[in-house]
Amino acid sequence: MESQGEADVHAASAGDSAAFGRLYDRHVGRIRKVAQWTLGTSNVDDVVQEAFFRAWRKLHLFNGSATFSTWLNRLATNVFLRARKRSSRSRSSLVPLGEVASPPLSVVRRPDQKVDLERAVEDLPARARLVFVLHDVQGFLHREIAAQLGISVPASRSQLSRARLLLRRSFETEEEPS
Amino acid sequence: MTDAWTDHLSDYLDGELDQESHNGVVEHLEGCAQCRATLKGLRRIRDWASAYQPDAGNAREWRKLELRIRRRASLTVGLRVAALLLVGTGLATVVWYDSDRQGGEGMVGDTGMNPGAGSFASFEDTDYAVEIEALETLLRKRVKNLDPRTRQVLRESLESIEEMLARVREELVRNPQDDLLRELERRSNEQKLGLLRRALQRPQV
Repeated sequence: MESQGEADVHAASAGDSAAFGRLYDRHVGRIRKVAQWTLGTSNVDDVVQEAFFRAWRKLHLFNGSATFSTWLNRLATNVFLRARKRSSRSRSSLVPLGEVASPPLSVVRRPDQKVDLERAVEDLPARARLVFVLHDVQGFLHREIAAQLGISVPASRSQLSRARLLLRRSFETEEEPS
Repeated sequence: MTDAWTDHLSDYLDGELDQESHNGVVEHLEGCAQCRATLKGLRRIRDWASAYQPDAGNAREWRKLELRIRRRASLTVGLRVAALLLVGTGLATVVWYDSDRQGGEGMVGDTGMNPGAGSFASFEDTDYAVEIEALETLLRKRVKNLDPRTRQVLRESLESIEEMLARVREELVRNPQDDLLRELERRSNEQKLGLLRRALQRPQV
């Protein structure tokens, strides 16, 4: 039996914008956060919209060999990485994380573990954050990350290790053995 | 615990170590509570990341996107007519300022490509995307060296093609098996490729 998500993907492929709206609701939170982490800015409305618009236009290419979530995440990541390349040529257009109190960051922040970790990811050094997001959040392989970022595979692994160890410090107090 | 061991824990967690290093870490972990705690922390971080699901977005952003989607959809009829004209009559020309061809002054030319006989007929969508992106990257570096009129016509021509491509793809979402639309998408991609290539061959000023 087809799940609601699968039914929405089929309906959206046939042009049902309401079904695509439900897919949007289901995925936009994660996509938005990945955009913020990838680009290092809170100001991601345009690029997130571009990712979903591109997904809408390319839905006919989705063949179900991966999950819709995986397909969408990869498509969106490519959009974000291209935007990142463009923005690196005009760095002044980037607003560093933490300097903009735009939603949803300012709205969802609460003193709980989930948000503390989100914050800790934002505070990572840029390269380590990018590798962590691509590998651990988005599921890219090191060789894919290396190719995308123009770094070596060992460098990608090293940045991932650095990111995880820094994030782990967020829990140091409760994790350390007595 | 030492940095040397700590540096291996992330790779150990992902199964990225060779057998010898893997065995070394296993042996070390048996006697080092601190590294075991670190490994547990790293695993927790990795598991959190892979299952990460933040709060949902806001309705305002969806309304903006929905508006954009519907605006595209409303262009469908016009697109169909354009497709028939473009493919049926072979009038798929792109305005292109070509001072070399026109003896130093003047307008108009085509993309210099023969859409039906190009070597890109078998290109998949992703192939075009890769090729076009590479050419666009090159062009961004060189475009400032083109004369201003050429730059302007180039920009406008590319915008026209991109607009057509966007409309075609929008329509293809609804009619993925439509051969006419597929043909139009292919020809538009070829036009864009041809235009980018010719722009890169232009004399630099």
